Amino acid sequence: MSQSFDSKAELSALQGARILAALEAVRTAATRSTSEQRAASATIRRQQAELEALQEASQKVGARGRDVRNSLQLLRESVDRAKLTALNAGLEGARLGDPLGKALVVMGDEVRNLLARAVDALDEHTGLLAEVERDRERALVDLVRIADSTRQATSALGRSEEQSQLTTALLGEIRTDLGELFGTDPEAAQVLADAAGQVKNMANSLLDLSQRSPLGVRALRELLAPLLALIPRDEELPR
Amino acid sequence: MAPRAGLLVRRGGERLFLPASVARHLVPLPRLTKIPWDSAQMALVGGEVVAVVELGEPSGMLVVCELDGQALALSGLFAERVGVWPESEAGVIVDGVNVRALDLGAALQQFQINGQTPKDGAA
Repeated sequence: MSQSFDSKAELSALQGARILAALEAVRTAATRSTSEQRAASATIRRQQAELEALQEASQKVGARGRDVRNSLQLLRESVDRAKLTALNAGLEGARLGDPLGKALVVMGDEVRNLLARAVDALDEHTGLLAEVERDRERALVDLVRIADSTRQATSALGRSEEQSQLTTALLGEIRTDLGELFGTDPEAAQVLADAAGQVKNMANSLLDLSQRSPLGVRALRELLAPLLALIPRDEELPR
Repeated sequence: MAPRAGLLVRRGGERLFLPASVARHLVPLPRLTKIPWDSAQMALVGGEVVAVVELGEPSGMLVVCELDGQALALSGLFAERVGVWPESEAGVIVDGVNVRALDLGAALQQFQINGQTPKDGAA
């Protein structure tokens, strides 16, 4: 009786249950992976859009920088003109001589000094602006490089997502095929395998018992008869 | 030492003095027109055509001078300061340093010599 439970059918049921359960687990993992990839892909696409917005903002800053540079140039020209005016006023005062022209000379010199400071400040601003412009250009180059990498990552992730979807679909097909092959779904196969195990244990126990006591065999026959009656016959199984 | 009023200019690395009696005023560098047969240049300053003597690299301004009642513009000079300084043998003393007066006569002579050669050549 015990040998009959070690048959190929029992092994197939157990192995089938295991394979189907493993397949189900792999399919679930693949589905989860596809979902994660989709989420990552969406995040990268969002980051890509943000990067493009940053690039646009940087270009706008560049245009503003050019405007500021033009304004600084205009200021510089105005200050140069004002310096000439101050020098001309001083020259006029110098020609008038002391005491009439002294005030003009002093004022012209003072204005010229102030304008010289303004020129220094303007030169400093122009230099700083050039530095900012260089930094911006460098940042823009980095941004373009990052945007390119992100684009490549998005593309790779898209391809990977397609592969995952294909894998999930293939696993589904294999699971269906195996389910048809074993004539059951994974849960039922597991229940069947468990039941086969239980029956095997019970049969082994009965064998032991029958070998130890002939009296017990008779008692067991009487016990098993109503139990066997509980199992439906083939013609009673649902079609 | 008598004080001298005038304009301090820089030509290249050299500081020079122009008396206020000669230097009339400063103007932003206008468009200069080269005379085809001469090295001299002309410019329109305040509605008046003046000869321009080039004394150095363009500085963005012209120093308009008056010499013997004639207007003459100098280019290539950077105007620095206007003031009254003690007179020295060669020019003035500014902050303890002797500053030579610009020899306008020599500059003009150079200008005239340069002007003669092409004229002769053209004739």
